[in-house]
Amino acid sequence: MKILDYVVIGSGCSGAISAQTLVEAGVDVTMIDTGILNTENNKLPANKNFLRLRKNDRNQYRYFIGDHGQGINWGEISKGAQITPTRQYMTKSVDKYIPFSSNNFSPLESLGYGGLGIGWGLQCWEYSDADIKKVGLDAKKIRQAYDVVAERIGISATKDSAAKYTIGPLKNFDPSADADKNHQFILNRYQKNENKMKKNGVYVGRTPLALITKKRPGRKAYRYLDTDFYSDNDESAWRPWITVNALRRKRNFTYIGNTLVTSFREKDDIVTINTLNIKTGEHIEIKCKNLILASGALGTARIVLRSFNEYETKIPILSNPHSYIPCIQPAMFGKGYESKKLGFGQLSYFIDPKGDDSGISVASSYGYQSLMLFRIIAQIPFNFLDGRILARYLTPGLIVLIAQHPDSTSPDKYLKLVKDSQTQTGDKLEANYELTDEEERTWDSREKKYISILRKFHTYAIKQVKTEHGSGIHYAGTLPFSEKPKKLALAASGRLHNTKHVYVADSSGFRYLPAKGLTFTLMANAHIVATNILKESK
Amino acid sequence: MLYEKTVGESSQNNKLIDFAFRHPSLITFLDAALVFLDPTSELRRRIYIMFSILEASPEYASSFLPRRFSFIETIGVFMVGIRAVLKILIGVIIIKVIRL
Repeated sequence: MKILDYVVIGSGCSGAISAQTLVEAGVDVTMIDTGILNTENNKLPANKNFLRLRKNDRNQYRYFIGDHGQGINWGEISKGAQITPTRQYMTKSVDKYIPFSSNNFSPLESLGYGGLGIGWGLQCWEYSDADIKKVGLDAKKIRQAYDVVAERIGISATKDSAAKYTIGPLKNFDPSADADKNHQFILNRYQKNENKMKKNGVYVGRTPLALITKKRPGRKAYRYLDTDFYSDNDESAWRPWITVNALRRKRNFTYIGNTLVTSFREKDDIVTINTLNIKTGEHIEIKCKNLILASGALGTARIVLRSFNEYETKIPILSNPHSYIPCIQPAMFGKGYESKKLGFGQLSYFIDPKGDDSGISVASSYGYQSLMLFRIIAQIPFNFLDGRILARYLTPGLIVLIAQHPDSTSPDKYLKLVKDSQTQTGDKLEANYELTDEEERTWDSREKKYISILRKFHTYAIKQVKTEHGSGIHYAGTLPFSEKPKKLALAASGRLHNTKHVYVADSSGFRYLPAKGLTFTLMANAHIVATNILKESK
Repeated sequence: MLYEKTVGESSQNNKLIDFAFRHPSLITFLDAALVFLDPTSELRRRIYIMFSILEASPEYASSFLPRRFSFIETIGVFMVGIRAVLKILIGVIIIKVIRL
């Protein structure tokens, strides 16, 4: 049996970036991935904007509501409600191959080609030095890695008054895409009172996004087609599969799809990986010299716990609690359809009275235009017929604020792998996730502050929707960094303690989860881990 | 998936849906009242699905897009709001009568 040099598990954000670092160093890399593709006939026609599609395309129901009505979502907001039919393949077969059970934690996992990156909101906030330290990482190395990742994926951002919180000292980025009228309205009001706001620790600025506004090889600059929720038009938004596709054209990279990694064992400097082919049901062993786990904090936890036979062992879990806060801007009511619109997060809001960018919450706001109106109509406390007229009038003045909070470990937040003979792998992951009363109170008071600040921008919250724990798609901390060798923990290099050649390149090691979305930092960490592997395996 | 719920409908829901089929012009009143009496009722769910299908059809898409309202039309919107409130009152009365 051939012994492979470097094997990366998973094609999500951390898998793609760590594999790229290794491939660029010239070593032979194999990526093992379930890699489920979108096989539904629901792709958007290319080069057409939202309005043209709405008015002309007879097949629009396929991508707006789905062949099976999966985009309709009647009733309470459930996990994954934000995922449109064209992206729902990202959760396909998850219940079958990576079952999860909990009464109070409802995560979203992916076996898709590109992992959770398929539905990523593209936000690329940099963590502060203080937060990077709390996470367990080296601030200087992470800052350098931010630049490397930004160069690879392409980021658009603005050096505005919130830049300290959004992009820090990041060097290379494109200018932000134009803000829509709703967000320009907020920015104008913020800028009028900027000094006073800053004195109170309030910072508002453009959200950095993994979205290019200048042309790159094979990718076009963002064109405001307003189909961002449904399609990766022109590849202007970065998704992990873009990098993996590029790697697959290199001689020193091999991709093995349809393969679920179940466990590994290490003996005599060789790592044996146990896999299950999801097409044939065949169990296959693969041997390698270096294994890099990048299956996400939950996926990696499953593989590691199973490999060490650690059933019923509790390990920590971190996840950002978050709320949706729909808001109205009466000044924008009845203003009509806006042709130049950005579907991604446009503004970031920070409240930091201490000014140290540590332990703070973050909010980001979105426009609503390219989502379907019937969902809004159902929320208006009138009959559907009259609700439709009101919704057409109100929607230009609707934005959605998403407030996210940091998370720390506690004995009431844990995962464990338990035996279950009914599942494909003979086990399932269970979780318990409870916030303390203090956390509940703090997050609630911070959200109230956001709501009161928005009022100063003539933007009024109409609802505060607390989501199920875990539905925010940010997970970390399952195998925390530990300087001392310890089971189920990572060394600073990303190596799994009690192994010689098994590394973890995703967010499993994070000891703390800042409120700012973790994706940019987990990619920076993936680059550092890959660099460490190259050094240690020399 | 969307049509499963019809199998186990309660008799009250059935009664309401039968009534709606027999008197389609009164559906808007029933819908208005159900927003408060039973927001996740079968009748509202069916209207919701119908709206989603209409919205995703090119023939009707324009009727669901945001549009510019003139000052006069804005006053019209307020009238729609008042009409909607009246529909709730009428709808509540109808539902009370047919459920008796």
